[in-house]
Amino acid sequence: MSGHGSGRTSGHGEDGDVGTARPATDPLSATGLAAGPPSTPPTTPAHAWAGRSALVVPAVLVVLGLFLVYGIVDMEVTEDTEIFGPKAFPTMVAVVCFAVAALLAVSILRHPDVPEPMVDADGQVVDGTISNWRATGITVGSFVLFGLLLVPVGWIVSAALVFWGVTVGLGSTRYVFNLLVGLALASVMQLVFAGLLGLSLPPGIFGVL
Amino acid sequence: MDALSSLGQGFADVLTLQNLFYVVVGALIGTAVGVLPGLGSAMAVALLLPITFTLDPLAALVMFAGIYFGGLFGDSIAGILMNTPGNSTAIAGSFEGHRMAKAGRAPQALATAAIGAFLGGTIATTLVVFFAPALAGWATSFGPGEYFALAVFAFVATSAVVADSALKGIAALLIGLALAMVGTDQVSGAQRFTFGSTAMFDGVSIVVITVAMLAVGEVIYVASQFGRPDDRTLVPSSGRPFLTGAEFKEALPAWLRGTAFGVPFGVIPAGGAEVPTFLAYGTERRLDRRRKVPMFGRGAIRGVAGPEAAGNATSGTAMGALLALGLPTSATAAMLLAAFQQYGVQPGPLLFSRNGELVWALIASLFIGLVVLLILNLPFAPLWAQLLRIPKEYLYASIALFACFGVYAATAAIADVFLMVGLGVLGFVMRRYDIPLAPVLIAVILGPLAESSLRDAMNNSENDPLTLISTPITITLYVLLLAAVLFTVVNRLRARQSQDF
Repeated sequence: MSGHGSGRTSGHGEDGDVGTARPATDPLSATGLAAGPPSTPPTTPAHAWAGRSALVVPAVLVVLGLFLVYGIVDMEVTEDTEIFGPKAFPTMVAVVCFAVAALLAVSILRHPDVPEPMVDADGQVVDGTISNWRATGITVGSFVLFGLLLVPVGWIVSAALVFWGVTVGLGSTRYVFNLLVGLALASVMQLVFAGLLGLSLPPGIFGVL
Repeated sequence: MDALSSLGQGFADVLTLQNLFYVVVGALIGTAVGVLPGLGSAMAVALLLPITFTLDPLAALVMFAGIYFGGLFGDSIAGILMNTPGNSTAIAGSFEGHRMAKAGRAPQALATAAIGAFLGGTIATTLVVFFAPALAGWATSFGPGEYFALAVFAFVATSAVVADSALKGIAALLIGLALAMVGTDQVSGAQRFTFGSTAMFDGVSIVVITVAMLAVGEVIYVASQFGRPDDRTLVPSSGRPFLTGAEFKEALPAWLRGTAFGVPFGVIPAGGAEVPTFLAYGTERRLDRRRKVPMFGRGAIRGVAGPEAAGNATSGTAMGALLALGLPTSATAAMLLAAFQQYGVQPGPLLFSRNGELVWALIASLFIGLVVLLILNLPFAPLWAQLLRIPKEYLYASIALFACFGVYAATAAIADVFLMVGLGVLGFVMRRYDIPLAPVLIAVILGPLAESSLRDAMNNSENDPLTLISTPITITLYVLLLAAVLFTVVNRLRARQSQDF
């Protein structure tokens, strides 16, 4: 569960930071220079976070360490006499977590990873690391939606929606066609794996198989 | 000669219609994921693991073995024709390979790569036949101290030696170790990090972790990169796909030298095949400079032959280390180990005596797989390149579909689906900040072994830490490890001084 919580929360913090720095929806038009030769890279970071968003990683490690410490304190051990009992290894991992987090944070603060703008084939400058948060959001959202819908509406519908969501996230605009492809693939998988191999899938509203 | 008769029996077991079918399927899948940049054999095995649960163990394992080698055959295709190597193992071979392709010698570059991969893999697998049983026999005397040393070796080798940044590698290792500790403690029965949730009593399923990290993380990462310039021009490959006698003669020494580099890197678990491929490339380049007409920079056939043979030779002997010692050295090897465990087979010293038939059949299937892969790749490499024309959105949407399916099919728990999403986001964050994924997988798989052997060793010796370095084997392992770390440090300092590659 550690990765679940920490990864998510830090992901969102990151989202906000980059979002405020630059318009996040369309990196190409937002940062690309429409014409002219590639300009010199921007030398002054837009704000203090530029190149330092990698601090998310030490943050994840700190959260992981705290999770381990909480779990170690919370752990019920019947005979707590041995030094190398069930708590020893987690304690070692937690200590190293904090140490590595500190070292990583120092290294990131000292050498911020200011992205070098990339130049594409047309001579347009494209920012090195900006992420497409719209596409990312749609994709993560599709997976979450799958988890929410799987039991109530069944495999075929929820799986088709994941497929559709990812194609939309990756910029496809053939909405109806993609949904049909998703439905077809999901149905084939239900037939092959539930029908032939005997793996169980929630039938949901198509409760016939 | 005992090994040969066992191998003969192994061939007899594998040469059934069903098993051959799965060898071919594995080779096809492996080549395909090798060709497609961003996908890898580790991801393919992770996605297939839940589906193959109902298969006969041998059938599933021979398929995974095909995927294991297939990934290394396919990865050079995209590197040579598009200059975007399918995997990090193909980077070294792509420098000269792509130059050959641009000079109109694409078929020769592809053939050199395929034959090199075949030779390297075959020689290494032959060595496995003769040395793995001996290695396993020697390892049967291992106690907890030795196992702990082996696990530490694998951890440090993959996280600090192979990763670009030791700190980032260790960060990945810690994430994996923490994930492995969730669940019921096997020694004391204490509940650890479950916080009373019964769903977590058995720990976090390996399928959930691997599918989330390798597949879901990759899908989210690709989405986050959407909209960037993305150079996908294929150099056409037409004409005679085979080598002339002269070309073969030219490449042969490089193939053999590459194999010589690859073989030891699979045996001493120093993780991954990237290092030997670059060593082979560097050697060929240095040798080339001494010739009258240096070919490097203009498409040198030896610059392709060396690294390709090295990559597959490493994988071949790494398979031996996996079978004989239970020691995975790359993400794909870790996935294979997970596959073994799914079928209740524990690779390691006792494997050859306990599951002899299965192991020898598997080794036999490696040889068959290599031949199948050579046939699939030599004449058909340009056809495989057509896979690169699949629209990205459908490719990744299908991966997402398979990931969701696999996780639910494996555990039938909605909680695991959400866990998959959370770990997928973590996998995305790791990719975004160049944190390697292989140490996570190796830590998840070897973490329990490391912990239990450490506890056994300490409890048996009344907490005397010297017990960990009390035998010749442990001392040798730690000395080797120290040497590997020193070698890396020196190499990195040197690389900083001369940016020659």
